[in-house]
Amino acid sequence: MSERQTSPSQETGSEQPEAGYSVDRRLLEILVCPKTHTVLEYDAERQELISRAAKLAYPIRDGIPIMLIEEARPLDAD
Amino acid sequence: MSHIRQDWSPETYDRHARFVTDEAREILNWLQPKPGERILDLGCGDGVIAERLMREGCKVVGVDISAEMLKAARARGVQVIQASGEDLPFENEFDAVFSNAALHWMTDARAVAEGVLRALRPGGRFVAEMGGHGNVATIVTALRAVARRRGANESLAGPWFFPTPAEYARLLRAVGFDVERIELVPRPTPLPGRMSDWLKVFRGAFFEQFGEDAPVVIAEVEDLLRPVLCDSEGNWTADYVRLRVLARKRK
Repeated sequence: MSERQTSPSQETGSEQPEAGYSVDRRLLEILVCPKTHTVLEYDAERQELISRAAKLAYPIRDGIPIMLIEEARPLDAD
Repeated sequence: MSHIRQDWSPETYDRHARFVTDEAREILNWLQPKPGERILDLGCGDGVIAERLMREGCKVVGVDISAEMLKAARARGVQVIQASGEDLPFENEFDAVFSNAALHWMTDARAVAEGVLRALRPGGRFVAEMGGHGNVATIVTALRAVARRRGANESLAGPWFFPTPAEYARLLRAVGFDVERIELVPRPTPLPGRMSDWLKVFRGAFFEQFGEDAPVVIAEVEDLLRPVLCDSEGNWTADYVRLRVLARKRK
């Protein structure tokens, strides 16, 4: 992932502890969109990975990125 | 997505299917993991093998379709991603993609192979063991026989992808791998419990179609299989046949 909209607490490699688990920023950086194979943007606030190319937002639940196309939120619905 | 729906329970798996990871020794020999290598464990399940690779100094990412299994893997300290093997979200990332006893659940084999290829760096290796041609053939035939007699859905008996070495090698070459080693190995596998336990863990979707008759149907299948797969002392063996492959992404 080359684009970053937000980058708080990058030095710790993790943020937003939730139910005891936080998402690992370095793990997010190796992910691409499963549909278009393009870069993702991390939205720390909504805990989502955004694919502009696919117009999909992949949720991060309980610290686990859910990279399933059918679980993603269509961005057009905003 | 043509993934087979399967509700994996870490507890049931641990009790009745632990042999699946215990039997992974040989394919781990094929992998020859080196410290510092970045490895993707495709279909990591409860993370037992990923944890073993981490102990050897590898940096492991585990992928699985099952959220329940991923939680068990994470509890072992594995970094996990929920994804479909048919739509892998990686590019040029790993030194090796490893998979044990998972690929046969993913019926769009070409999509899987393409995703694995993409996930690897050039020259990276794909090392996998899966059910091969003829795997659990006796069991599947008994399931089909019972389904036919009852006018039920036979296709739920064996939804897996169990390829021959020839067809799987052809597929891998077509998407951009060099196949260095591939073999089909019969591996009769002693079951820790009864055949009915195996049937419930691995073929639950077949028995669901019978509703409350499911226990009767399970007993019927077990009766058919007893003379073939159970010894005189009551020990069950499943007729596993494994396909092992070592392929490399062309540079």
